[in-house]
Amino acid sequence: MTTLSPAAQFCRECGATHFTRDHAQLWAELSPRPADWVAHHLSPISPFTKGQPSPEISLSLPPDLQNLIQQMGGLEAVLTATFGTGGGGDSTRRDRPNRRKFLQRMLVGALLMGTANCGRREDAELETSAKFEHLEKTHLKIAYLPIACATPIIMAEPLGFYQKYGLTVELVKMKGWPQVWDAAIAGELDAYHMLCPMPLALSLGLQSTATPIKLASIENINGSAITIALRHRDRLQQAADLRGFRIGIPHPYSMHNLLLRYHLASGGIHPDRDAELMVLPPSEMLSNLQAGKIDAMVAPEPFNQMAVEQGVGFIHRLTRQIWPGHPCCAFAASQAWIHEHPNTFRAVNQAIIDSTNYASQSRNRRAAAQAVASANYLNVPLGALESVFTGEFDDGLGHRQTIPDRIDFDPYPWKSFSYWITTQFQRWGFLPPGNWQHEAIADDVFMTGLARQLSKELGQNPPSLILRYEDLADDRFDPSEPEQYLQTQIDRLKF
Amino acid sequence: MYHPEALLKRLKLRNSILLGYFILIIFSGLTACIVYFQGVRQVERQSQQVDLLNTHINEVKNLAFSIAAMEKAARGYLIGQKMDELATYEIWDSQFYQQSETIRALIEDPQQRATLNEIIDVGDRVNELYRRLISYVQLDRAGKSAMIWQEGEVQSITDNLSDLVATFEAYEQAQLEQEKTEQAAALQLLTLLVFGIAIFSGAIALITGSVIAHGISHHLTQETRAIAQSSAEITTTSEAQERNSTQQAAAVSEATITLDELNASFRHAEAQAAHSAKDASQALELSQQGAAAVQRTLDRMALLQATVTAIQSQSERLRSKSVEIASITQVVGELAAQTNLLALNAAVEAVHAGEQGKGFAIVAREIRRLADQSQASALQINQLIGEIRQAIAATAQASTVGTETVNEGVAISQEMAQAFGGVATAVQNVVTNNQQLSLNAKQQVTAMGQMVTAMNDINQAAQSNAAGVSQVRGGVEQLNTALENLTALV
Repeated sequence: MTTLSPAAQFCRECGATHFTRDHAQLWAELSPRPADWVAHHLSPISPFTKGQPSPEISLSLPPDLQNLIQQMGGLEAVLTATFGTGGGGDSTRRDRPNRRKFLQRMLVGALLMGTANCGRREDAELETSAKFEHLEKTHLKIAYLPIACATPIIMAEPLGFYQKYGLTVELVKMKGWPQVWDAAIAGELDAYHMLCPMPLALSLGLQSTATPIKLASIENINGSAITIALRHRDRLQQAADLRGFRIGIPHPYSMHNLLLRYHLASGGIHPDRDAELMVLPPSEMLSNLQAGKIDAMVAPEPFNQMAVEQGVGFIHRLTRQIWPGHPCCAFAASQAWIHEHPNTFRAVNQAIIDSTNYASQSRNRRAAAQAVASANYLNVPLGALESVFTGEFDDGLGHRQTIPDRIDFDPYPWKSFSYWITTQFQRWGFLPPGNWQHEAIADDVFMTGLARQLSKELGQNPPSLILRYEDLADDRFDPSEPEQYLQTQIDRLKF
Repeated sequence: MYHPEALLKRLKLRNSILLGYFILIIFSGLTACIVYFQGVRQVERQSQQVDLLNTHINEVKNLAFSIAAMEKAARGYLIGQKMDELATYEIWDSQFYQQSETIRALIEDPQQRATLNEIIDVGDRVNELYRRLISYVQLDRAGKSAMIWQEGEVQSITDNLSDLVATFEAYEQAQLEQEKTEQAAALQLLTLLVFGIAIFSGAIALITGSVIAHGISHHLTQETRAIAQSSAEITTTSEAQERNSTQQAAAVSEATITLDELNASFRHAEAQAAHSAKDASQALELSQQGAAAVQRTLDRMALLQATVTAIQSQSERLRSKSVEIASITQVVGELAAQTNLLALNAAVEAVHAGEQGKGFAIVAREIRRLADQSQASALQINQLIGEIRQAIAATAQASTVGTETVNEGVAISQEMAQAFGGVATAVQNVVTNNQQLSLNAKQQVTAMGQMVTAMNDINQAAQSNAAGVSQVRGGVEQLNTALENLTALV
């Protein structure tokens, strides 16, 4: 018999507690007589009696849990393994048996109803409409910068994701990241499109008063590039050749800045001593490159591709080539606002996660590009944006490349992202020297748990873990030892 | 005005009994309403509140249980490193999330919310920490995980969880106790209400019943008395009526005889009236003939008047002609005088003429004599005309007298004609009256016949009336017996 993946929640088809893909299999293998499913629960039970685990307790659990227990050698073994012999005394509890039984039966009933009513979408819709009543606020203002990274936040409006969650969203176009930064500190708007390091920097009080800003979910991964003016094409082969360049970056607390610094350092160039980094609004980078005011830019899309198509520059490195799967932009809101609008925050976050998942599907990429390219959003050529979204592009050096995840969308905020970012903050002196708790900072800013639950509700399969090895171009980041990673970097490169 | 007895008197017996029941029914309805709204509803509301508080306590216990279960699963994984434990962990994490979302919507009390948020926060922190430890294990850094575990970071997070749950529960329990006290009070009030209203209703029923019973019996006694009195009066009256009936029969017989006599007398009068009418008709005819004769006289008188008028006008013409003749005669007389003078003159001339005038003198003398004779004739004519004029004057006088006489005759005749007209009208009236008299007499005779028949009927009715009165007396005696029985009952 198939074991249901217990980590799952809410079958996308029917809303019951299991994976969508397991749905058909479960249905095929379950007893054809529904009475068999509930027959076990008809005898009265007394759960969690001290010192004597009743065999009936396992019968009162949902079938998937029963299977788990059986696979693990029975209930007694499980309890012993978990609590040790007699160790369960403190944690055992007596409760009204009827209540537990009732809940368990409800669970079984939900499974029955769910599988029986598979495909009825009205149930989900009804559930959604009932949720709307709890919204503290339905008209929201969300700040965004007109770049491809903001696609999920922008696209959610024309494609109706906000509406689906009972929200009316006014998208407020910002000129540059400093404007977003100031708006977030002032609390002007409800929620913000931010660069991943920004909530960390704001919460840590770097460059300004500490303002607790939470990172709700990641927007895009990858999706930027180092573009170099075409005049340097002949003498530019590797990172070391960037020495002395004046390079445009969108914001100090941007992945662009951190990745450029990483890249420059890997070529032995100290970013502050051997090159000049210049903060420019993304929309002005291309004209600066064209005018020769900068030699290179680390720009969000589609400005890199536009530089290629306008014959201004060529793509030196995709940021994906420096750190495959690196986070770029994020959806953020202030802690105070979340505290006042818990339900609205969950709704808008879920809408954006939903939208992000939609954008992550390669078959939806063209639709996403069309939704955001128009004049009232990004106001960029659709062709360049499609090249970025499909990953089929010219690099400006005459090569046709196909990199489907040149930009990708994944809402899950890995905490290893945060650890890496804060190590780099330390590395480049953004954080004053000291004993910084990377884990505590990440726990404080990254709302990984909520993003996971919202994804589960959407029928996604978010990771159970919060940390992973991050494989960058020159080294591997081990999130269990961030300080050690930082030390290795400094030891190797002397900075 | 609305004294119960007065009201009862105005109502039918059936209605007054119904009214008595109706008051009771209204009181029952009122009781039910009061018990429902003041008692049952309140108790219901309070038990709902108690249920809600119990739900809160259970939900928070479940929340804490989910955290504990998460911990157990995580510990199980960290020790045994089985993927199944991780799956169980995910289930309990999801359970915890859903429970926390549900209960967040349930709790409104700010203090309880704060406690709840702390509990949820403990869960979130435990979750993050365990996931980190699990991640370390999966990244082959189990040593780091064990190190953190030994540092007691987890324990420090969960240390006050049970305290938080206890705080939450204690607060809810306090509210629960209060609700229960209020519920008990409400139940006591309900009991009091039920018994109080039952006693009150019984008292009302007793009072209403006795008032109605008293009213009905009083009313019945009065009515019985009235009936007895009436029956006595009926007895007296019927006896008197019996006597009267006998007298009436005798009187009717006498009247019948008188009527017969009257009938005969009427027939006689009828015959006389018919005769009188016939005589009057004859008188009418005679008077009509008289009137015709007078009319004829009148016609002749008119003729006579016309003739006399004609005579008058002719004599007038005669008189005017005679005046003309008198004037002509005067002219003739004057001519004769002139002629006489002329003849004298001619004779004087003839003397003058001597012989030759002798023939003329003769002629002149002849002419003088003729003139003298003409004068004498004229004088005679004058005398004659004078006589004629006297005669004409006499005729005119006579005709004037005649006219007057005729006028008088006409007037008299007209008066006579009028008199005859009056006689005819009078006679006509007499005839009409006589005819009416005769008709009346005939009708009276018919009426009299009907009267006699009626009298006979009356006579028969009077006799049967006497029999009826005897029956009434028997009935009244039975009524008296029934009344005696009724009085005994009341």
